[in-house]
Amino acid sequence: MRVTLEERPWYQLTTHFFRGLFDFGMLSNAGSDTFRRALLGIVGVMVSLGLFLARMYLKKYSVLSEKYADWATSTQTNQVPYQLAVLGDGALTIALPMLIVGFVVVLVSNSLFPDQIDCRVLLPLSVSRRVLFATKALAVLLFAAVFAIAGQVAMMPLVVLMWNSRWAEEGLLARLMAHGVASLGASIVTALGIIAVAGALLICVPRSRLQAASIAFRGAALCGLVLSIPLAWRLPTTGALIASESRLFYLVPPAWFLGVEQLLSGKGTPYFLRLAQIAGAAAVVSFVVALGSYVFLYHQLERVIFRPVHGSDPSRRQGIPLLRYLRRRRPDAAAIGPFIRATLARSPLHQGVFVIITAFGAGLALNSFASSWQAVASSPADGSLRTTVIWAPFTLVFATNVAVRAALVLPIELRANWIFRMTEDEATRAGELGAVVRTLILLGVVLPLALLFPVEWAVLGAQAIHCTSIAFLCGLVLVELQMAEWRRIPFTCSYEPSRQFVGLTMIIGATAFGLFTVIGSRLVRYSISHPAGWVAVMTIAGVVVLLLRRQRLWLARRAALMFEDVLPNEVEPLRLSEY
Amino acid sequence: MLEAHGLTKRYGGALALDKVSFRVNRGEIVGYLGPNGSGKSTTVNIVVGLLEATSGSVTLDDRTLSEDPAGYQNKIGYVPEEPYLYTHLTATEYLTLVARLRRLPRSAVDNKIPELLRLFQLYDSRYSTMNAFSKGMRQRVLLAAALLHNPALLVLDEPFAGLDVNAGLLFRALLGLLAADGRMILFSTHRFDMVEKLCSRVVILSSGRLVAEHEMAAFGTPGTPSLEETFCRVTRQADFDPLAREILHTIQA
Repeated sequence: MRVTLEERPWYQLTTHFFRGLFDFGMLSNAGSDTFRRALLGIVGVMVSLGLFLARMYLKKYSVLSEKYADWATSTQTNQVPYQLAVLGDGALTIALPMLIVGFVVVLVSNSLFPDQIDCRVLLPLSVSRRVLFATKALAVLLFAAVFAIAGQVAMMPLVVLMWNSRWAEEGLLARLMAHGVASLGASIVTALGIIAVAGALLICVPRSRLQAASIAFRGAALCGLVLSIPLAWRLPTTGALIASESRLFYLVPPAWFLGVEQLLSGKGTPYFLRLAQIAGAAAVVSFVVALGSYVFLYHQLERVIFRPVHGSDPSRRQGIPLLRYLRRRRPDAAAIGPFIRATLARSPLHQGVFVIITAFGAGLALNSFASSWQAVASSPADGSLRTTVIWAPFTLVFATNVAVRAALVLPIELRANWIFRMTEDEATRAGELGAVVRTLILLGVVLPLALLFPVEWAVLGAQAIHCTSIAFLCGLVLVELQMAEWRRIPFTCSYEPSRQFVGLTMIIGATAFGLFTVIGSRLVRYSISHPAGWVAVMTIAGVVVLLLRRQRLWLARRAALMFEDVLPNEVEPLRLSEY
Repeated sequence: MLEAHGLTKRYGGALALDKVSFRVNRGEIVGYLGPNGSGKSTTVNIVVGLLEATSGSVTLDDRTLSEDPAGYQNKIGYVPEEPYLYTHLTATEYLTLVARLRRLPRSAVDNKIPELLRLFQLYDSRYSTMNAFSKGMRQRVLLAAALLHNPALLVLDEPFAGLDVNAGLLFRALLGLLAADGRMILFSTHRFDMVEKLCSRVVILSSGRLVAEHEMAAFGTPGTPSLEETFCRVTRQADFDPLAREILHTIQA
């Protein structure tokens, strides 16, 4: 009897693992379907973004063609502006798919290798270890390839626009082929690099610390990727730097593959050859380490996968004495604080949301710092660095506040919330909600300001105290406004993402961000220029915080906790959920 | 004493519970039996305060939930039907969370939690997060959490699901001792053998209505129908023999 492809174990297992990767290994069954749809939406957004990019660059390339059209007949130097533009834009079209593939592979980084459950469930079912490992690797590669190809498709309109020019030296098809190979290679090497790091962690880190290490890796990788977005966005302006053969680009992965592209197009200058060699070395190292990890785990399965877990005694981790003292002083928060800390420390989903939104703010600040540094380098009297240093704390505080709140809103093990529902008590409610506010203040205000303070001090000197103190109080106002109607124990209430039109949410968010950063910066400037102004600003902001806090506590004592998110009436005019 | 008076629960137009009344005396284990969808879990959720009845009331030692929410809840230990707990926490962390939510004094809890973990054979895994725990291990954590504050009323919804034989036997013996110590136990289950061995009284529910309430002693005497026969009769269960034969026939075909 002939066995069809669909009936073969390796095919079924590959499909199983491939589908499994789309739940990102961190969502419940209920959530995975929603997330899968969201992911398809992301692919749609990628293609739309590609078309949008092409539309953005249409004018640039038409101008490049027209402006220098008359010069073309007289001298070869007419091609230079075009060539510089395609170098920078070429690097961008390689970088964006790399970032996309990097994001998705980091998100599934805890499912890149067969785990204990795979082994315990599948090996007794007469699935050989070889098939298990091969199908897992194949599924991961297919998963990365789907996003890599989607990235290429998304960038294709821009690439065609770039190379379909009178100044292009090679044929369009040849350039497209060269770009496709280089860009696809870049995306695959990105995926292999992440697999290699995850594999090295799995092999080298003791099992007892593996969870912490993989969460730290994922957080750092996500943060790095988000911070890379503004840097990638600056690549189109670096054509001249690349053309001047700057060594800086030996550290920029998209530039390595730009070297490959140039080499494949026949432009084998020593500089591009060197970049291509680095790309080749990165590809070989990533491939060898990733493959080596699979091979090692294949041979040492028992030692690595089934290694017993030796946890440490948490009672030994006493923490900072001041924090211990504060915790002891607040018995109502004794249950909620550790619950929030443990969830934020261990849940990849919550950590991912926190890191991505925070990194978005950090990226904005970093981008602004980069621009300011360039401006100061060309004109030392330029005040843009000072402006950025005053603006940055408000940007970071806003982003981290939104990030912490977004993470606290998302549920975890929703049906386990019965213990909170059973023990809800009016007498302890305000204290429990107070623990949430303190978390927001600590992570959303104190942490970013403490991290930025050395930079503030270096640029502003003693005036950094003005800036940080006002940013602190403005941060407290923001926290109080965000928490004014908060009636949830974090992670225990269902969440309806569709409760408000996404566009409206973004408009509100952008407006709030603009108001917060502009008003905050102006207050700092005013208090720096008027010594008495600082006292006035601090006093007014302090009074506002106290009034908002009083209002919040008054409401907390009266309103019961929420365990089910409620859709606003205008979203659900028929009130079908009540039946 | 736990007393339910005319409990009625409607979900929109659907009637889930229809004027159900029963009581659990101190020192008594009451078996709460019924087919799927008969309203057992709805009753349990109303008794523990997770659901509000459309009408009727529940009193525990003559006090309702609305009169003294904290006092009422602190007298109840609850084990849900499925082991719903926060699996990203360790067993120690989860029990500490429960103890703090129930505002137990730290001095009492510091020794009690490791001791309970040891007795429930979870001590070796006390620092591992519970996402690697089997269903039986999670069930044992929930049992420990339900007993942590020494409750007067224990509400158990299928507590033996997932427990291995030894843990099941231990838990059965423990329930007997708890009842002998004067605690009230409401024991919702599908298992007749457990009800026969553990309970002093049984309440049977069908389609949201209380259809039978008997002392267990009534089933042991010769000439009287067994608990299973009574259950099938009062809940109008079909005769399963033809269905079983049909399944066998299908397997053999």
